[in-house]
Amino acid sequence: MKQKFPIIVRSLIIFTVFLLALFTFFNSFSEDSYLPVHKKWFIYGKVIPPTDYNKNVLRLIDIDLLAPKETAKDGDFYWLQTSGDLITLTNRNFIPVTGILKFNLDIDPCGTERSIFIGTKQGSIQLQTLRSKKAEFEFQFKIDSNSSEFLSIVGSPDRPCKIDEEMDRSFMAKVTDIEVVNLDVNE
Amino acid sequence: MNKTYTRNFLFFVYLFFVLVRFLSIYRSDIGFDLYDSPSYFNPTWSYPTRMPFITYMYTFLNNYSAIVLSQTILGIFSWILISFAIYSIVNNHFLKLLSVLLILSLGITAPIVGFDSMILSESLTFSIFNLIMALMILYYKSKNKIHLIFLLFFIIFYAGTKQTSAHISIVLVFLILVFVLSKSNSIPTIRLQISLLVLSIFISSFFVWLARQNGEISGNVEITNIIERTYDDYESQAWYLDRGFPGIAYQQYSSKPFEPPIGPTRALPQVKAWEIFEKNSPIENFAINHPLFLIFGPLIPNSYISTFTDNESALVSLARGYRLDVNYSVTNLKTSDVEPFFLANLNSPLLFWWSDNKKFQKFSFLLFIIIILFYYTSWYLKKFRISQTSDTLMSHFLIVFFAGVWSNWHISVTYELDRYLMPWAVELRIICIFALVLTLDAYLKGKMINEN
Repeated sequence: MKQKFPIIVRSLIIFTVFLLALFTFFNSFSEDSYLPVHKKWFIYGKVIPPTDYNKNVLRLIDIDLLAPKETAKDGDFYWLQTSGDLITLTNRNFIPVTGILKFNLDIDPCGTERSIFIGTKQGSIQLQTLRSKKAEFEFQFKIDSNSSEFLSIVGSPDRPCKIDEEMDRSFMAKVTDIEVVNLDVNE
Repeated sequence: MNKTYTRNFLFFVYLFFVLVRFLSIYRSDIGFDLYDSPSYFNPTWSYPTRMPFITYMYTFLNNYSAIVLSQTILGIFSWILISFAIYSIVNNHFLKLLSVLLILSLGITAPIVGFDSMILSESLTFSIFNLIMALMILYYKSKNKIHLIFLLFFIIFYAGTKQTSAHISIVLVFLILVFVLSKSNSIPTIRLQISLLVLSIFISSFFVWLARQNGEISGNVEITNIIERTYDDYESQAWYLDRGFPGIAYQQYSSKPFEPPIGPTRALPQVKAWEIFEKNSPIENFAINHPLFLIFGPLIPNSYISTFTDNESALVSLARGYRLDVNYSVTNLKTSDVEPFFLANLNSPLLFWWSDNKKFQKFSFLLFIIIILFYYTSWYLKKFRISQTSDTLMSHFLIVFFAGVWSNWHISVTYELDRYLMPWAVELRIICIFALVLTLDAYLKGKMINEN
């Protein structure tokens, strides 16, 4: 093995140098180059759809929270903190869409029942987290072409809930089963 | 060949080289990169934007002309030392002279001399890496502890000048350790040398840790790379979105910018939250999760990212180099204007090492690689007598070259690729000269043995 190792390393080096030669030979060295995304706006004066974008296939709405996504056996979840959070729904389609955002709200790890307010453009929606069952939330949204929709989440900061953890969070509620359903083109 | 004649000839060659390098910087004003250069004057050991050795050095000199002069002097010394090191490992007198001429001819070319006049880290990177290669040759030949001490000193200096260099320094120290362990029977001060190497691993690791603290520049580079590489490739985009990368970043980055788009994109609260809670070297993780892309991406990028062309291949950047003397974005420090070609006043040649012609770039690059391949072929031919030390050196130089090119490509393919790969384009040419003179020397040595 002691004698074989340098031979293996040597062979790998020769093979890699050979690959360099081979791919250089077949490289066109053409003047055409990739056009960076940040330069496209200046060239075309508008946001250009991705080249692999197919208007007949709807892309999923991207859901972001400021809280990090965590994973458990029964699905992904987010811990909301008493400082609040922001749900961002991003439509990466170049066409307006409609859909329904759904998620469940569960109590914090200390079992505190709280009032949670979800801010939308149309007004605020109040939910109550209970020990007995999860609060269900549904919101019908419309998002313009290549745009985002924002929903703020705030709750009562009294009776802060902290547990022994490195991140030292002040827990408010748990978001589970978050998804967008009935996504469709908004004609 | 007469030794006195050789010595006199070399004296005039070196004198000519020194004069050309000094006259070159004298002819031109100093170049300043508005985005990068100011960051080199903020020396700190705590979360440094730039690595401390270079920031402390620039701040200590505190004068642009003094910085350019220091870069030039170190550059001259490094090219002379590497030429001397190759000279010392070759037996044939004619090849000794040839190696010096080839190395110095590379050292006076425009892409290399141009960086001496710039307030950027490249000049120091070329020079220190030249010194490392030179000292590796001298050390592998002599196994002398003094050579090792100097070699490790420059490796640590290299680690402290640039984030990517810090990572490469670990590779260098490990390769030297492997060499020392393989020659343990013939090294009298083996314990001392191993101790020095182990100490160097710890110091290099410290610089890697320091390099990874740099959130500002690495954040800009990573987010730019994620968006630029996946904007037109939804499958790859979905990979990052699934790991928490916010989709709104694509909208912000691609919309009307009032400044370079990475600033407003990173300022989004969604991106900030992702960076704080979820970001975990996404570009590195993508490369590791896609092994074929990791290996072949730098060679044939258009096979993996549909909008890329042949131009995004590392091979093209290595062949082309990075020409400051034809750069339209460098600010002339004297006039404060972006004056195209002001660095062309350096009047340094390109010789056969670089070219503006695409066909010549391809041809010359193929030639460099074929010379290296032929060196390896000659190992199996009876007529050639290649020493084990030379062969180990060649392999180690190439391993570092591959590590440098592959890691830099994956970091910077959409982020000034030519500039990031420039040190490796220079190294490849030095390796090519090394391979050429070693092959010819091995042939002449074999021929002489056969004749006797």
